[in-house]
Amino acid sequence: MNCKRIQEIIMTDYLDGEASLPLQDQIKEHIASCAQCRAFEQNVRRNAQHLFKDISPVQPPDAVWHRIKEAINEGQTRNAPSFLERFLDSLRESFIVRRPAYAFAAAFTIILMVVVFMGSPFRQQMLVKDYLSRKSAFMLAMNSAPNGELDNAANFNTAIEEYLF
Amino acid sequence: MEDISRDLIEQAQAGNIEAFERIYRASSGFVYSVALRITNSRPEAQEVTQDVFIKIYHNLGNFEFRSSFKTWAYRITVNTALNACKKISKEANRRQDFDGGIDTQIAGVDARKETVEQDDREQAQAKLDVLLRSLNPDQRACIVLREIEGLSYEEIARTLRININTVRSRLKRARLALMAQTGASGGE
Repeated sequence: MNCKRIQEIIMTDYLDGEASLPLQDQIKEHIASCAQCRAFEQNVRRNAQHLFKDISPVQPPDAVWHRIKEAINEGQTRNAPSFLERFLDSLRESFIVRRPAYAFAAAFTIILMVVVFMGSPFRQQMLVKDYLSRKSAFMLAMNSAPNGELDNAANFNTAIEEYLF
Repeated sequence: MEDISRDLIEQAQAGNIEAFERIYRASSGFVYSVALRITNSRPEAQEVTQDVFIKIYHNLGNFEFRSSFKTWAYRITVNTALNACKKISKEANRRQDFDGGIDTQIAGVDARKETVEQDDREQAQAKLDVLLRSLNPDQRACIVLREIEGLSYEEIARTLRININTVRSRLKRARLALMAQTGASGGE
């Protein structure tokens, strides 16, 4: 390791106790034999590290805590809901709670109206089925009955048939 | 700084202001000290300390003990202080533009003179403040965390969220700058 590399390590890991024990030993050995690196190590300690040794701990003035407390209390007051906000909140809450009931009532009313105005879908279905079965019977009678018998088979007993025949 | 107990943090998380005040009493010294060394101004350091504890108070609910409280608080402090430095620097630049090129370095020193020299027994500290001013804020943060707070390289890297080699590099440059200021030889 050359002096430049040794001095880099002195300035960082060696000075800060971050170097491994073998590396520390290597640096110590080098310093013992190299006057230039020895002088460099002393310079770093004196001019870049000892500056911080006399620094006494500092505390912020009490006013800082008072300001912090004020800011926290102000924030809490600002965040606390006013009477109007509380009232609106309760209104909103009750509306939200009842909304499903309103929706259910509306859906039920619509279904009821459809059933009343259009009739039961089951009833409609029965009428169609009845009509189709009678129509099928007529078609079958047309195909199988000899001429002349059709008149009776085609008799549906409707008002128009009574009038015509 | 001693790390704050989990129990105390949980009490503060539950909204106990007395518990939060105990956290403040235990950690405001280091927050203020770091802020003072990074910003180099007492009023700014007080502002930073105030901001840091308000941030801590509002974010305490999100603190999940994944890192130590100490590391978390250091990180908030350093970031807030570095932001304050940027603000100071921008204001100094604006002032320089306004004054038509008055030496802002001198103006900055004058503006902070009262803050640095107020404390009587702080001759050494005043000297250090002047020396620290020759470093850029990132180097200043690194050297303060190392020399004043005694953090290891690993802790500094975690606090500043930088690579450990970046910590080495910043410390080396900071020390070279300090040595250059004090007239010591910078190397080979």
